[in-house]
Amino acid sequence: MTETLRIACLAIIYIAHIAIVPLLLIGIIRTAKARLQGRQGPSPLQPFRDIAKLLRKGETVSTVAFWTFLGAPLVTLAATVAAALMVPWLGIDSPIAGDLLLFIYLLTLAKVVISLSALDTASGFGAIGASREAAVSLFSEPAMLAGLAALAAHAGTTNLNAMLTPGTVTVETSVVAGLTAVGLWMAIMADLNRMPIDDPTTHLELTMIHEAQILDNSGRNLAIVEYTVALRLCLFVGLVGRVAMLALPPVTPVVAYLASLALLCLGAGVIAVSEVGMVRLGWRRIPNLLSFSVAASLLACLLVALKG
Amino acid sequence: MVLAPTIEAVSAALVVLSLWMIGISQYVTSVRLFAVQSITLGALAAYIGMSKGEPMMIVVGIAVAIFKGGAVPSYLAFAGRKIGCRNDSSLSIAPPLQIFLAGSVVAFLSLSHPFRGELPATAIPCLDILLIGMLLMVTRRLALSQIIGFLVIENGIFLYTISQTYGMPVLVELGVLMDVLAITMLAGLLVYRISSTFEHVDVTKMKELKG
Amino acid sequence: MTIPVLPTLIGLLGLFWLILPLTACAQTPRVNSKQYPVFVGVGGLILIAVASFAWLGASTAAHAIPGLALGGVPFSLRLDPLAAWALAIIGIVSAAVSPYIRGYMDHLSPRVDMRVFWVSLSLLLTSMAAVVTAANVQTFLIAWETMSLASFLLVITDRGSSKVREAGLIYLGATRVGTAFLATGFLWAHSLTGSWTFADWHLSGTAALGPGLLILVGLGLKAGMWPFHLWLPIAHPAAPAPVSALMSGVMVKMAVAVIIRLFVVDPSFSNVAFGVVLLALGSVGAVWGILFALIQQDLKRLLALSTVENIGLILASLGVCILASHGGSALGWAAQIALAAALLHMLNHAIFKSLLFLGAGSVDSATHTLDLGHLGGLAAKMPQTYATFLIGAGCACALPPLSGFSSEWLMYKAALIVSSTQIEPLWRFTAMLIVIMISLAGALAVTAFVKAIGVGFQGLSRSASADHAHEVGRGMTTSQTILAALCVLLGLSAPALLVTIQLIVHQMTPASPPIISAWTVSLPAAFVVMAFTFAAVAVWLKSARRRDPIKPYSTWDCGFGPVGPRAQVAGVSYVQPVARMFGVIFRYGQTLDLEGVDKRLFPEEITASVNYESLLEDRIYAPLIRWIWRIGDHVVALQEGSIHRYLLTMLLALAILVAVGGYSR
Repeated sequence: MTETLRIACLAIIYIAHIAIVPLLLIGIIRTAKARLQGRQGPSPLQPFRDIAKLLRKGETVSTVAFWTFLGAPLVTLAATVAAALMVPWLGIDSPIAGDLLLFIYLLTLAKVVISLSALDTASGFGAIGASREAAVSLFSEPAMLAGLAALAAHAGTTNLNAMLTPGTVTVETSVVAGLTAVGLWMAIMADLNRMPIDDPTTHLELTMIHEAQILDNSGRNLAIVEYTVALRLCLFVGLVGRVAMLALPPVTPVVAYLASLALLCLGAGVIAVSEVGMVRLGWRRIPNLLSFSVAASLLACLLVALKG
Repeated sequence: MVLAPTIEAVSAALVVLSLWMIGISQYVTSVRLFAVQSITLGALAAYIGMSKGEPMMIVVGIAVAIFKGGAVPSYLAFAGRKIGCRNDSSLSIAPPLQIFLAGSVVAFLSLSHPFRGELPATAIPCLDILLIGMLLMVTRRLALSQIIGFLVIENGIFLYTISQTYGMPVLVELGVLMDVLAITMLAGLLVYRISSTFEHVDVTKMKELKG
Repeated sequence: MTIPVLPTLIGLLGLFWLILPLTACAQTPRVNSKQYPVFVGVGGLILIAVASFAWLGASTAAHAIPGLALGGVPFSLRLDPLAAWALAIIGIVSAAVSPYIRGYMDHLSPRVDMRVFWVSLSLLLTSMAAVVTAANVQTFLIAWETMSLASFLLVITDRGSSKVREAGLIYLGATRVGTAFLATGFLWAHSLTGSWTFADWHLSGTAALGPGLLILVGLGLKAGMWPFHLWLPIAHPAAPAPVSALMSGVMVKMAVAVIIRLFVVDPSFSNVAFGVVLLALGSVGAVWGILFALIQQDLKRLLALSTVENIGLILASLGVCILASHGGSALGWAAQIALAAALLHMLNHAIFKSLLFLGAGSVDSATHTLDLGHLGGLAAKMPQTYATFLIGAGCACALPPLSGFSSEWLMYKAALIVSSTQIEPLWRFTAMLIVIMISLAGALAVTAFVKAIGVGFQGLSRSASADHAHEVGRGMTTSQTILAALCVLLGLSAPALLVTIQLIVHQMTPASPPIISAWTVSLPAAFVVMAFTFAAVAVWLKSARRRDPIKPYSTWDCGFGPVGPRAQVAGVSYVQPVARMFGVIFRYGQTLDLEGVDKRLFPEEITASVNYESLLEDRIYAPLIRWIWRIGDHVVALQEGSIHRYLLTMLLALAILVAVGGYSR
């Protein structure tokens, strides 16, 4: 009975945070970026207003588009929400005992349907975006999985809650956690199409990756996709935060929760700084960057194999 | 912290740094990474000296940090600026893919440990760094990057001496250090002369004599 | 009086698959008959019944067929759980495919001999069932040869076109080489053990190596194991769609089932080397196959190469299983899970790949082309085919909660268990590399199938024939719907399947926890959350759209006016970034020709093309075949008709035999 109660409480906490944190995080990134650039910038609550506005607005849908286009935002949202209830990105256990492989594949599902919806409109831009997205995820997915596999092999389980619970800290655990966090960070920046892979603020159709794919989405349809992307970002940053926390000794759940929130903000800050201070990489050099991510994850694997 | 795990962890970090260097094509970045590697190495030597109570090791460590971590990199950076080399597009394989090449060497050495019985496990990182340094020399086009490769090999040897025997006689150590400094100076000078004679420092194109 | 159920069922099966189709011989060649698909379907259902009865009373004993013998060795069959699993796969796919055949053959029947088609089809189905139940070499080889020849006849069904004839010839050549390897291996094993019965062979150590490798190559040739997979992308596009579905979905699995029988479960050949070989070839094949699938322009070639990928995954999983079963008791469980993953993937792949091949066949019969450059816009015109193809592709990409996910999850799980066990670091690291390999193959599969759907089905039609396409007939869509439903169903019932598989896995090393306890993935919870979120938002969207309907508009065109089909992405360009990254393997190159007076600034005509070559075909097989031809030119001198040469050959052969016989004594 207490177990059911605990899961119910966790579910409520997670659902509340899923509703609020993602958009807030986007708001924080934008505000921080504006301040760094010496602008006043919008309030951190602006993304909420944007989404509310989009939800009220009408939709325009291409006559070419078929049900794939209309259904894709729903599937991507559903898959991402399911993933969000499976990863302990808030520092406390997730309500559903998440499996690392299911998590990765749910997020792949979320990505695939967006690519399909882009191709459904017969838009050349959407297709270029989808094609680039595929090329990037070719590296980012194995890199992510390699890093998480190192942790799974270290912990001897694929259950994310158990994997990400800090145990006794040794030099090896810290190094593995550090390497994995670095590898994962690069991989998620690629996966989320953020700097230096892609500039989310650019609106030149030919250079975008993610934005090009949702070029034909509008109104409610766009609102769902925008929110899902924010949730995905939030999940990933929270996950990297949890991985980084493995390098430190265990703390009480409340402290872990607060630390996770702080790390989310820190992640947002790092994203803001990198978006202000970096230039976008040339398309051909993206594999070069991502091979660093794969290499870091592989080194973590090697270390686990040798020591874990 | 105990001595042995520290040496092990720092050696691993040094291997990671060398892997990073092989994945980088910007000349300036690899010089900086080399500086970081040398300073770490010097600090390790000083730390070993402290915990073993050997003052001369501390001196050697500080000297390595100053010369190889400070003087040599700034001289190399200066030479690079003078000649104007920024990016070293390496031979056939792109640098990031060379990480995997070097990484598989590292993985092979540490997983199968071919010198079991002859070399202790702690010597493997030194061998890694040595081989990566050689790989750097083999794969890079610019003569200046090859000097870095040579210096990385030297770092590997130094790591071996301090981690296995806790240091050679200080005179030998300092002598080697001076040699390295002199060689780097000389090589830099030569590269500068090459650059003014050939108009480039691309080693692959240096096949004929020119005066 | 109790009715002997199993013999009755097998008798009925023989009636529906062997005897009734023989009546086809009496027909006129061009009639696309109604009753034969029913025979195929009923036979499939009977086979499912046989499999499930065999399951209930599973035994590993062999049954000799009275009165039939070859060279003093009786024909004998054995219906153990592994054979039952394989029979179930044959039964399910053939029953599901049967409604499709008639509609599809409509556009072929005017120019092909349907009598040959029906007889070969029934022979193929029966012989596949015999291959997996065969208990000794003689039975096996006869069934195997029948399977090869029947499938060859089916490949060249449409033999009017020279391309089909050439494909048939290549396939026939591949099967000949395969049988040569198999026969040599069997003879070798017989000389070592003195028995023709598989169950009597218990070779291990170096003795197993020689015959085992020969047999593995022979079976691998049929299974599509890298680097012997070359016939797959050539034969499948040539064959009619239901035949491709049966060959790619079922026939290659039969070779895999025999590999499992001889090398994995109660192995006849036991050696760690087989694990290494299977793991290495499987891993390379998985990535290689899907990489080449990616750049194909022909939908069926793409699917055939994706089969190479999936077979690679299955074989790699079997490799893990063999290696782990040699690794001591700590890894016994991992070995069982790897085997379960392979078995489950056999079933899942059989279903989703036949679904995809049927979908491609529907596209072919509706548009008369499979070139992705001429397709597009079929989603609205063939909604059922599109929806089912989408589900099949989702399975191929292992997207949850569809069926492909469960088996790939088990593969990951087995590798992760190995990597977290305290064993030699080398093996732990290898296991983690396998995880990365599977995920790389998965990411490539996603790209390949998004391309197939996005370019093949979505957007605007790229040619007039695609523009005039209509949904195919009811029978064809029925087949596709059944298979798509199975894809979803099997995905959700993975735990039940694992309980079933336990019976096969149990034969390996019984003292382990049941494999079902490895199934820790909370798939149902994820599915419920997804369904709930989807439904809630969908309901809200529906009401919002009722208040404020969707405004139809053109696709964003930068204000230049409506976008035509030519502005869409082509299959070649969609995969260009990925293909360039792996350019070393493909020898990928692009050429751009600009024509015009001032062609740099104002090109009048631009031709872009990509070219690639396959390392394996162009650098290894082509020289090899040229070399064989050269030798053949000399050998042919023996056959010139000179009686003296014939006699000399016979004399030499006799002398060699006498010498060998005397020496071995």
